[in-house]
Amino acid sequence: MERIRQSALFQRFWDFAGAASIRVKVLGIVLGVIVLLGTFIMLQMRTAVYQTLTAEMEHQGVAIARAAAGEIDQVSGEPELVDHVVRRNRLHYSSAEHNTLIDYIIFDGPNNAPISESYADYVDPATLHTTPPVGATLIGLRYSLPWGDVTEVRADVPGGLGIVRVGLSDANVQANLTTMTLQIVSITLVMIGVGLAAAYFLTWILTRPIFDLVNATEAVGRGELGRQVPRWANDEIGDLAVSFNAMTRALAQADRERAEREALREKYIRGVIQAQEDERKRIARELHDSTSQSLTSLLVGLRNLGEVAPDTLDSQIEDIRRVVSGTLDEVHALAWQLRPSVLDDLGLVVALGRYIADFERRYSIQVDFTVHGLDDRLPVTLETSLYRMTQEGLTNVARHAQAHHASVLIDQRNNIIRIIIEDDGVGFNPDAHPFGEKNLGLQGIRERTQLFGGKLTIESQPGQGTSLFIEIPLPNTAARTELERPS
Amino acid sequence: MTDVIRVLLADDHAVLRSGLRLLIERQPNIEVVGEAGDGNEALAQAKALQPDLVLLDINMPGLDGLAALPRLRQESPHSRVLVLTMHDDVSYLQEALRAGASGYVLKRAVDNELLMAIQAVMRGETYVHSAMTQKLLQTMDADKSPARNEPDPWDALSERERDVLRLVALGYTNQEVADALFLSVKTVETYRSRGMEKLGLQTRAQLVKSALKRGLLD
Repeated sequence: MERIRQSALFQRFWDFAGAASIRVKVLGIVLGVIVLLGTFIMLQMRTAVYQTLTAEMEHQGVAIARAAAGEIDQVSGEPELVDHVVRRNRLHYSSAEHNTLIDYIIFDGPNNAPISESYADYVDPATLHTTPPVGATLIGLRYSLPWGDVTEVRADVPGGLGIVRVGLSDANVQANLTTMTLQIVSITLVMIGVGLAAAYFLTWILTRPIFDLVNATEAVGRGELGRQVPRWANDEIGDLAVSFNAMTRALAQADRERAEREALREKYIRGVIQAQEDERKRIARELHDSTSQSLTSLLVGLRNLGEVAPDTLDSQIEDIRRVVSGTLDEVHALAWQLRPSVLDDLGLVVALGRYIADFERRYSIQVDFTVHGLDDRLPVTLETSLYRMTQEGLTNVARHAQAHHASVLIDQRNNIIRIIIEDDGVGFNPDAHPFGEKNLGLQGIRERTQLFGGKLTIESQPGQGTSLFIEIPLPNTAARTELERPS
Repeated sequence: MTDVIRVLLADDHAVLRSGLRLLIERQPNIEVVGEAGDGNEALAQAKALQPDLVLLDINMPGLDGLAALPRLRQESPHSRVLVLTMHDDVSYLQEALRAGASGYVLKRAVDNELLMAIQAVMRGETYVHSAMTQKLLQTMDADKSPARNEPDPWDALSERERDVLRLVALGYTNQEVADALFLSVKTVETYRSRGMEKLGLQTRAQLVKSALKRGLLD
């Protein structure tokens, strides 16, 4: 339980700290270490210096007390002279050259009654009298008075005349400590500045190649496989750059191979489609030009025969005529289905108009057909593909949509030709099975669209009908002549 | 013999040509003066023979019938042209009539209609196979726009509906319309179906026709 709570706490910390950039992390660590070190050194120094200064002060105090005691001894305790001695000593040792601050010097008689006293200006004798230092020794006693800490040292006056008490102010020590602290703090601040600058430079060195790598990775992600990163240094990041470059080279290689395979596949499909179309065209033309003509000759021949034959044969000739005529119609329809000659002779719009009229009759689906902006004939291969795609699209409508109305719109604008095939049928979810095996028709349309560098968009929902958007960029005139196959 | 009709046969199928010759020459007042196997030959023969009538097939190697027709009218202005073809598409018929043909006979009806057609054309009439006439009239019906002075239903549309329908007519997907107008696809669908209902239209193709008539797509 404890562990989990701890780790949750850590997690919260890491959520915050981990989100910072490397630069902020490094700068934070440097800042923390310097501040910690500075604080530690300051505390350590303060303690040491304080002890030293206090000890020194006590030494001085003892020396002063002894000197005063000696002088009192010399004047044999004469009260006027004692007063003078006490006062002179206090003033003498309080001067700047001795670097001590004496709060007071008191000469107590044998019964602890003060005989002579001398105070600094700020000392209130009353306060001093009401809080007499208790248990003082010769070495020193520290206690607090309203104006500051005082260290008192004592010395016996020889001959039992009494004792000299010297009160030394702490203010000097404190002032020294403050000066020292300020110095350490300013040094620490300078160190922080230098440390941060150094860390900033360091992180710049560290993160710059990482930024390069990140940029390059994003570029590769976008598909710029030619992207390489410079090897900045001979370190781990440099190794990373080298393996990154190796990886992108491998990716580019794989991409090239994939593109080659794709191109090969497209070429193959194009070939298959072309071959199929050529074959259909050949057979349709054969049926049209040869078979139909022969059948027509038969019709004419039968007519000629009927003119000369005896009347008894008339009904038989008529029977044959009907068979030949029916066959002629069938052959004609077959040729049309294989490849309408109007597509070559009169173009896409006429061919589609005829196909749609046939479609409406066959499936009882009303199809609206509108053409907009298509003024010129298109390249033969493109017209053929557009015709076949529309055919596929409408066949899909008839097979799957259960529609009552359909619409075919051909629109040419800004060098893009669009065919939009819509129906009001059952619809489907295009994301669920866009080009499943069931829907080879859509797959064929997409395949043909891609061959011309176009795209197929499907908008449909169950119950909402289906819209196929075929968009194909028109080749410019130069490419158009190349597409145009000599027939 | 001015009342003998001099006919040139232009068809690439030799057997058919001979059959037709047999059929035609059985008539007392018609005579086949020449035969041609392709468009160029037909042109040359017409120029040389100046026949009264040319029986012209559309599908021929080299120069095809439709391409040969206008030049044939030039080379031999007095010849009338009767197109004899497999094609039952109105478009071919329209092309042929535009190029100056006087008649259009389908090959599957050639045995019964040819002689009738020849006589009609020589009387100065235009002969078109009856089923084809029907189709031709249908296309002319479709072209006829109802010039009624009814209030324009587009005026009944809200601004949003009109924006949506304009983009739909321009061929955008619902998603693209939604992106362009900063609407959701659902909203676009609602505007679209409501607008279509107001216009009394059912499909995008109808919408484009209506928008074109109103000049909204230019």
